[in-house]
Amino acid sequence: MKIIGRIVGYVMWVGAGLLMFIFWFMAMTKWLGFLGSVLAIVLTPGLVIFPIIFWIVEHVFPTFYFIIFGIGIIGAIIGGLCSDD
Amino acid sequence: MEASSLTNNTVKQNWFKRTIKKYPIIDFTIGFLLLGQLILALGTFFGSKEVYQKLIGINIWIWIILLSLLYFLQWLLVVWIASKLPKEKLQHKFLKHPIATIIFSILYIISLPDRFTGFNGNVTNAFENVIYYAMVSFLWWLLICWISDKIFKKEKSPWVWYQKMIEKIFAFASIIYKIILGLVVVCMLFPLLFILITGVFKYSGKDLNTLFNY
Repeated sequence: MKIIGRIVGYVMWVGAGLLMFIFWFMAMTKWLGFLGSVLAIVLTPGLVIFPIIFWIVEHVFPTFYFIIFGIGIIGAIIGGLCSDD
Repeated sequence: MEASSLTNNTVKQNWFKRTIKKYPIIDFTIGFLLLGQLILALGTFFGSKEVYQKLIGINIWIWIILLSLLYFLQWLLVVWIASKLPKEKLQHKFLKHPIATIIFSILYIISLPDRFTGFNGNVTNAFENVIYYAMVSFLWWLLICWISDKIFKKEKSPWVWYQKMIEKIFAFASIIYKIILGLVVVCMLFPLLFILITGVFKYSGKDLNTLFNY
C-alpha cells in the first residue's frame, strides 16, 4: 500500500520540478534568447533568486512558480510519509 | 440474549475491520473512485446548478448517498470474490483454463482503445471504465471456467510457455497495477491541488501571460 503513496509523492515532486524547470527555461529564453536557453540548462534557478529576479524584471510576482513548488512539497511530504525509512 | 447480540456485533465489526485491513488495494481503488465521483458531483453542483440539474437532476445529498451505497456494494462484491479466490487458487484456475483465458484476454485488449474514448482527458473516469470492464470480463471468465469445469472433468497439464507467462503475470501484475493506480491518483490530485491553491490565492495567471506573450 505504501508503494502507491511513494509513487504518488515521487511523480508529484518530479512533475512539479519539470513544470518549474519549464517556467525557468521560458523566462531565461525570453530574457537572453539562445544564450538564456543554454544557461537555463546549465544553471539552477536558485529558489530565492530566480523568483525575485522575475518579479523585478517582469513586474509580476511569479505565483505559478510558487503554486507548483507548493504542490511539489505536498508530493514530497506524501512520499516521505509513505517511505519505509 | 444481550451478551450474544454484543458478541455478534463485535464479530461483525471485526469482520469489517479485518476485511478492510486484508485488502488495502481494493479499499484504496474503490475509495479513490468514489472520491473522484463525489468531487465531480460536488464540483458540478457548486460550479453550475443548471448543468448539475441537466446531468444528474436529483437532490445532491440523495446523489451522494446513492453513490456511496453503490460503491460500498461494489466493494462488498469485489472483497467477497477476493476472499473466495486467493492468489494461489486463482493462479491454478488460470493454468487450468488456458483457452478461455487467452480468448478473454485478447477480447479485453482489443476493446481497450474503445474504453478510453469519450472521456475528454478525464483520466479517472477512463480508468474507472477500464476497471469496470475488467471486472465484468473477469466475471464472465469465471462463469466460463465454471461451465468448463462441469463439462471437462479431466485436468490436463498446461503448456510450458503459458505456465511461464501466467507465473510472470502473477509476479508483476500487482506492482504494475500499483504504478498505474499511483499515476491515475497523481492525474487527479495534481490539478485538484492546483485549482484549490489557485482559488485560495485568487491566482489570475498574470505571470504566465507575461511570460508567454512576448
